[in-house]
Amino acid sequence: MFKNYVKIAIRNILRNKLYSFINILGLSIGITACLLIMLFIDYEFSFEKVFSKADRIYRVLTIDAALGTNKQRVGITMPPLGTVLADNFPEIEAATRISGGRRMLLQLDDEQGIYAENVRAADANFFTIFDFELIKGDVLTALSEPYSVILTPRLASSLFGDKEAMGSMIKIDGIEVTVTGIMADLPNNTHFTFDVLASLSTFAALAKAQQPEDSNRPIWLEEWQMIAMPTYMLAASKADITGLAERITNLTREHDVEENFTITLQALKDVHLHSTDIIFDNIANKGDIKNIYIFAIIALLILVIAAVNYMNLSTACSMQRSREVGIRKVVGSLRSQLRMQFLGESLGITIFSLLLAIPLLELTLPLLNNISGSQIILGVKELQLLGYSMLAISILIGILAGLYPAFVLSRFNPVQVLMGAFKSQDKGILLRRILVVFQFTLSIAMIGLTVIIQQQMHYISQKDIGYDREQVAVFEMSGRAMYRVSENFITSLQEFSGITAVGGGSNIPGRTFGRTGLFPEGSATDDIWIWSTFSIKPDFLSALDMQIVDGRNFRPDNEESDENSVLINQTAASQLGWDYPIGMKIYGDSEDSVGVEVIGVVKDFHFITMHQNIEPVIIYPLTTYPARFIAAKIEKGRISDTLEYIETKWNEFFPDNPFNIIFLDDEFNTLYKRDLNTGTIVKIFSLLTIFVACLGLLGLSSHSINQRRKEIGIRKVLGATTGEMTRLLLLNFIQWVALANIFAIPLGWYAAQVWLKNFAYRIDPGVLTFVISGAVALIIATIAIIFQTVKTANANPADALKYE
Amino acid sequence: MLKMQGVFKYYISKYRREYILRDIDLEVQKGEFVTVMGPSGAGKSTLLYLLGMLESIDDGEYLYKDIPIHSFNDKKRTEIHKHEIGFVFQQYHLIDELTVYENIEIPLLYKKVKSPERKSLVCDILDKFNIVAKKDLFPNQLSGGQQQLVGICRAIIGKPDLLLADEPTGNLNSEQGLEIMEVLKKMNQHGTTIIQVTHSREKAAFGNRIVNLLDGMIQADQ
Repeated sequence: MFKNYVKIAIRNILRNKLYSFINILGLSIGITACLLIMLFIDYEFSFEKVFSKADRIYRVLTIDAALGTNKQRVGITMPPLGTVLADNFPEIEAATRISGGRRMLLQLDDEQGIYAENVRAADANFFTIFDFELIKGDVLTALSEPYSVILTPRLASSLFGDKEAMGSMIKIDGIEVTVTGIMADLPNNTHFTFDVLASLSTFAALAKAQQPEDSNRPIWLEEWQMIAMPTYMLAASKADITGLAERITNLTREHDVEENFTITLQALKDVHLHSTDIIFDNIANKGDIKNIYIFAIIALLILVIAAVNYMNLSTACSMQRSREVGIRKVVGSLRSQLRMQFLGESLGITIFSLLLAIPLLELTLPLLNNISGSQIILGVKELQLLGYSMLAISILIGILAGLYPAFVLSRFNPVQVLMGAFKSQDKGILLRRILVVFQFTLSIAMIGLTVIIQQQMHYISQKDIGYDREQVAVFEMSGRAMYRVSENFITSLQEFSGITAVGGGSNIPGRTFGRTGLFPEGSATDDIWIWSTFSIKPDFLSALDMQIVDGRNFRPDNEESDENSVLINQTAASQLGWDYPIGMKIYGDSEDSVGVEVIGVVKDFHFITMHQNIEPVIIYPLTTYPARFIAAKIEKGRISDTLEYIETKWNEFFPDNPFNIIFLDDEFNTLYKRDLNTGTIVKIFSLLTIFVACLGLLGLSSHSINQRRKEIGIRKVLGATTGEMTRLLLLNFIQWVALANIFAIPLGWYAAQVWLKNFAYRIDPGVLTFVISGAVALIIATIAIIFQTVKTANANPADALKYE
Repeated sequence: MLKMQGVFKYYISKYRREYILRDIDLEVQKGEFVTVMGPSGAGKSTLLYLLGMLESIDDGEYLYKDIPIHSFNDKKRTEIHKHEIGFVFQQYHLIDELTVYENIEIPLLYKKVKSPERKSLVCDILDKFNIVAKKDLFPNQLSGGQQQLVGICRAIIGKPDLLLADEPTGNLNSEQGLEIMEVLKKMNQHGTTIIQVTHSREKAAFGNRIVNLLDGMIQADQ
């Protein structure tokens, strides 16, 4: 019996080639999309699971509610807090600190060095909380001494070649350290991305060395009045940590930490997907739980749309199967047997599509990895997940798609079917129309969402960000050797005609700015203002084409005279309510009586992403220290010869450092990488959605046109023209697509709002976008069915009538 | 074997009852070969389907082998279709996607006959009707007469004791028609009860009793 069912199913598939093609292709696309997204979601949720104690690890965060800030979570806390947690709270087994990372130069002897991209420093107990693997060295002692570092195998082998690295001395930014360990490359699915880990005691030793010998001021690592250190804690087994954050906050108050700082804890497993609002944590690979939701919904939608195609086509074509149903009933088939037969068929089609989806998946997985920056490989765990999800999908979709046709078909009355009284009274037309409207509602909403995401990204790229990022090259100085000659380097760049302006700064927009507490003139004594800070040489403003809207810039020729002058941004002035900010004083602390004087107001510039509101900035003159960043504005059309010149000069001044250049517009684009990725993925999936929906429309229209051949023949005999017939047939379907617009507009608008909420600076999507999306969908749908329609409308009526 | 008393069949159309059959009294004995005749629209086919329990009666009583059919549930009726009744149709109603062999095999599949036995039963019947050579052909590769032979094979392979034939020769030329009638007659001689619907007096002559229908009522029964 089973063989008989299979035979008849396969012969039906072969007979209705177009419909089978539509069903199988649509389902394969839907299943592939679903599996891809499933793998992606699994990958996103796999973050930090490499650590065996992950469930007990928390990140210690600070909420900064000072005036001037966006009052959000900050990824760092007071430097000494990590050292006292375990002693003060029985719930805490251990705590560890790891500094923020930066690029540094590694050197063996006096050879030209190599860059480590992310050098961080951690407490000695770091590895007892995060069980990273050390290839060489002891996890318990590797970081216990100052001036110790652990390297990745890649860095070790490029520095040492075949020589033994362990125990050898290297220089990091000119400071001599000993290699005490080689760690395995970090797994991709953790928020840590360092390639060198130094002992944090090195920082303490360095800070102490810089102080006068008899000083008893605490070094910054012991300073409670600032937040600077990423800190993690390991909760004791089965410890109840409710209210712990509050108790930690109370502890900090005992150390005179100001009221604006509150401690909060974040579970390690939330770090990857729930941290988009957190600043100062330097995590380059953050995900976003909202994206997970968006992608999951989209994947399911494609699958549902494909399943709807199957439902529609198999019920539309059920007339073809009616005789079979009649006969089977007459010879004694139960309805339940027929239902099982048709359910089995849809299950079979789904499984077949699933088999096609496997190579499709393998083909598209690298694409997904490429777009999303993930590194998903099909390992044992992934294959297991795929196996289960495929099983679930085939059963779910097989039944979802097959249930309705199975019920419709098995309900046929054999007498009506066999007596011939069962003329083409096409049942379920209403349901099919509803389903078509449903499909196109989703498709149009997704096209609209895609357009809005593109518009927002366009808005970001076109918005006046307060500085010019085109043609700006930035050079980062690291280590004393570089700083010593950086002024000469700047001078040599100024001399070149292809460079219009060169300026040094302590930072560049897009990187994390430091923040500091301030007492602006006229504010209440208990007001706590915290502003972002930044120091520049006067030329920095011209290199980045930043505008002074009030007052003046620092004087290039007489830097000393500006020693107690500062610039502020417009937000700072407006938050303080200063209408005439020039000449106003800003004090460092409550005892400061001298303060600094505002000499100019800089036009607001986006030094953090447009996800956040611009905060007040105070800009100091860069006098005592050399600049860490040197920005050079290159004249249009002079890129290649200028870069050549710069590289020559670089090698002349910094022979130890490999040439390295940062383009400001690249920096800018990396800030929005996640958003751009989301845009790309949504775009691809919305195209797939409309494609699958159009496949279904093509199938349905072809079916309905076939059914109306006789009617078309008669109409033509009575004098209807081909044009009129085409219009009649097209309208029959296109009106439902048009109707879908009405539902799609609010749906897409809502989805767009959810996504746009991520941005402090965003577009206001008009309904027009969706009207246009609807029009696009209409055009695509028309194209999908017009060929067939015209062909039928054009056909010789005699053929159709004779055929009947 | 079959007994109808005061049977009515109607459809509701525009809130009015349209009677197809009125006050039918009919009794068929085992082994009879009954022909139902009458003009188009007289209700012949409906009567046949009522007798075959493919449709339900609206009024009156129908005893199938002395049991009132309203006591049968769906399952019981399906059992009867499987084991006791065979149908033959004017349009043959073979399944296009199945070969001759596979079409004939279907009833046995539903009866859950084991594979080797199924095979021998189908081969026997193909042999008996001289269509062994056609067993792997699809219906549209056969002539009308051959298709109807397959239809009959399918109807009788389950060894029903009642065969209901709705104009079995209506779509055939006269030569093929006579051949089919000979087959039916032979089956009747072997004990199968047959009720056929036809327009043709000539075909009616193969049976031993003629029931005439007009406007849903029995005019004559001879």
